[in-house]
Amino acid sequence: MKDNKYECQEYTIHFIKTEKFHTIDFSIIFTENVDKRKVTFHNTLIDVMSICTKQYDTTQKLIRKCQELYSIKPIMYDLRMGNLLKTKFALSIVNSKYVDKKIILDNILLLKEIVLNPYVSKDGFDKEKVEVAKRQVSADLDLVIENPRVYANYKSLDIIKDDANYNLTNYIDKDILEEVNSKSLYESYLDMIHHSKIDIMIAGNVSNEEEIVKFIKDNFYFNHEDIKLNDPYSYHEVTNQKPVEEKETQHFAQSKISMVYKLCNASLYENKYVLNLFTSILGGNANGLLVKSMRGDKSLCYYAGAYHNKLDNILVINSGIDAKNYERVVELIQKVFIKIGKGEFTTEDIKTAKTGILDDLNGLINTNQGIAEYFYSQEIFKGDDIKTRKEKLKNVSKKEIMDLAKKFELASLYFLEGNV
Amino acid sequence: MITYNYFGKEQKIYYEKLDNGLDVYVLPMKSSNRYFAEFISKFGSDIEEFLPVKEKKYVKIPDGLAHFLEHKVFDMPEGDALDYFTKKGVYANASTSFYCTKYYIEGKNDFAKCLDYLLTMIFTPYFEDQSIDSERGIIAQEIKMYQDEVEWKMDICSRECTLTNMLKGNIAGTVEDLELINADIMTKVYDTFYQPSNMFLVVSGNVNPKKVIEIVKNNQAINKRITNYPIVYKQTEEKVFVNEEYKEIRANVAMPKVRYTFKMDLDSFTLKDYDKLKLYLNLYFTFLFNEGSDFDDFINEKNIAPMFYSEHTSYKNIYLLIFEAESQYADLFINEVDKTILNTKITEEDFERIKRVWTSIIVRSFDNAYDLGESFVTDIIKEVKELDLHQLIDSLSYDELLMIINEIDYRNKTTVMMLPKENV
Repeated sequence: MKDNKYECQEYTIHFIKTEKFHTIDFSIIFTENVDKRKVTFHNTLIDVMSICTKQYDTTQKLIRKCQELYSIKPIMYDLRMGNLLKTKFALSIVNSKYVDKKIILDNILLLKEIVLNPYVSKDGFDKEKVEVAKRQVSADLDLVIENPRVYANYKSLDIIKDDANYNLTNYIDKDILEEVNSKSLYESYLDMIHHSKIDIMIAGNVSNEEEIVKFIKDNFYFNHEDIKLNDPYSYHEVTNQKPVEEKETQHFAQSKISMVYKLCNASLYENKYVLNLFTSILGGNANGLLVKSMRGDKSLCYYAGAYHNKLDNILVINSGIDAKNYERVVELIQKVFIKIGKGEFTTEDIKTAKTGILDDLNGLINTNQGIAEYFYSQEIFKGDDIKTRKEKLKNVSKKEIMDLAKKFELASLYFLEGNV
Repeated sequence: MITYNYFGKEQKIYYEKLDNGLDVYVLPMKSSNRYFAEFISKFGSDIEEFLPVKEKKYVKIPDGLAHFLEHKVFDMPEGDALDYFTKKGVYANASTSFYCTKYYIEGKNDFAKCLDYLLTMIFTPYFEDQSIDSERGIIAQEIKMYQDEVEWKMDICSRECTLTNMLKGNIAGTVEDLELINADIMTKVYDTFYQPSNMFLVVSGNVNPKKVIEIVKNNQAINKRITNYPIVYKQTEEKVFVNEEYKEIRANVAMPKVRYTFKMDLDSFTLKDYDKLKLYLNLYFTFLFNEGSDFDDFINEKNIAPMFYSEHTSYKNIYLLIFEAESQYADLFINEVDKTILNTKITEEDFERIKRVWTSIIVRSFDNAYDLGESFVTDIIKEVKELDLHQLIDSLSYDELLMIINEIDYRNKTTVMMLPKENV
């Protein structure tokens, strides 16, 4: 499996031929430098663009066109990746072998219509459709407030008031949403089209590579200017400051605890390989030390887990507990870091973590979407290939994991106390 | 071993009923380098009273026992079975519903050993009072977690209003119910409902059907279990009418939510083939209410609800059509549902278009062992008789659909309003 790249003036076409899947993944990905305003604007933009296009001027017409082409609804989303913002438009096309006509070129044209011919007039996007989208993204944020697990996680990041991007969630900011109107949103759209790195990905069982590439070149023009992407990573120094702490009481049966740790002064190697293993040993699976110390015979929780964000160099711990156990749980969590730092974990723990992560790496390329995403991330982050990643991961030592445990600094501690 | 088509010649199903009564289905996939194996007991939280194997007196099952049992099945004399799978880099989990309890593994490594261990885990009952006591605290936390979820509250309330006898209460029970569960009742339930003859296994992915059957036949634990005893439990009969037509509740929501449910009796239709009948109903309601429908366009354009969905589900002879919306204008939303039902006509072109989309959805599932396996499990639980879904969809006719539409009875319905707390 190989990424055949075609460097065009405005974009790169990635043609990845795979033979075993039943669908073909076709996507256009815009990559920009992120800022807080863009997150809110792009969230709304995605919603507006998913409603209709100029040619298919209602959702009904757009969806029916997709259905005519045996496609499900287009996949559109934006995602902050460290200091970058990715905005993706994709169609999953059924291989012509299983349906009664050749549909690949028509699907490519449909995605072109969605991306390059949105429903705009002279002044910008349609006012009513912008208002519909604003209400929808606002309702998305309301859903966060309704779910105490998600809310606690969101708050633990939100209370860190740095200027950096690592504490930016993928949700809108209601104050910035006030600035969104048909004109400003259209400007944001034009900015994305003209000032992003653009990658067009096609992955699947497609035999006529030359014809498809020519078709894309003939049809896609962005009037694009060069852009320099920022380093996607955020880096942290030790501050020795007290973590930001916040407690809130609400009418819930279970309390939620969420803690954000910054990984300070870590090398790129530690970030890419040792951090994976550290998180897995700490709380990435059923064997994690957090689960063992909090669930096991103490029965303090049903779930306790950790996840990291490599680009942000942060690690987040979440658990649901009884309010009376708050201090005990915080102490137990901090003790687990100390234990790992002292090497109080087994070779078996390392082996289990390595096996799990190696399996995840295998899973990366088990679908066309996964394959396209893998080659896109190679393009943006210039990382090691899967084979090299596996080798480096296998060679991570116990000492490297112990050393990493000492590089975490607690940045925030949020406690949503249930008072039922 | 019998071979069936699942999508013409594109996807095969290999089936064998073993001497111990276990049904085994294997769906080998060329496109996947992974496997998915799910073992299902047809025992869920909806069974309330049963006759234990070799006994003559009915025993009441405490609420939450099916779910508690699901947790304890992972206990092995050597420790937690999850450790075994995690060490192999294989994901293992389980879930309990009203209808059944599922145990599954998904991964790439050591298929034969992992399937064998999954069987050994399920057929090695190891219920000790001490570990049951310790699990009680963990499940209590799980229950509290659900209790705080808005959707959970809406679900419980909506079921209480819509259903007279089935799918009652909370699958995990209440914290108080947990006190009634001990090793004795757990063993009785296990011996009765975890007989291989009351279970089935579905394996999909990069697997060889013959090898799967061989592993199951040679498993020591399954061969030691009692099986083929009749399973007797008190059946509840569900009435077609609803319990309560309207109810208001309060919760931690930013905007009011409404759940509007229609309850239908499948036995009231002329067409007696449940598989086809449910497909016709699903197709029609997909056309009326899913994304791209007139209804969807109208609700969005008129700002009636920023978020809404519709879904349909069935259990035995009961079919439910469910709507949920976040809306300040719940009355308008409900009116629009009612108007759509009365006034919207489906054309033959619409009918064919939706059939095409369904075909493409089936083809898509062939690229993912989990999706394919899980959708097949659902068919078996719902007792679908025609396993070739593509053939079934192909056999639907527009004229028959029109006949069914005329027979739909929309009179039994419930509305649950969930209001923000500050409105109290």
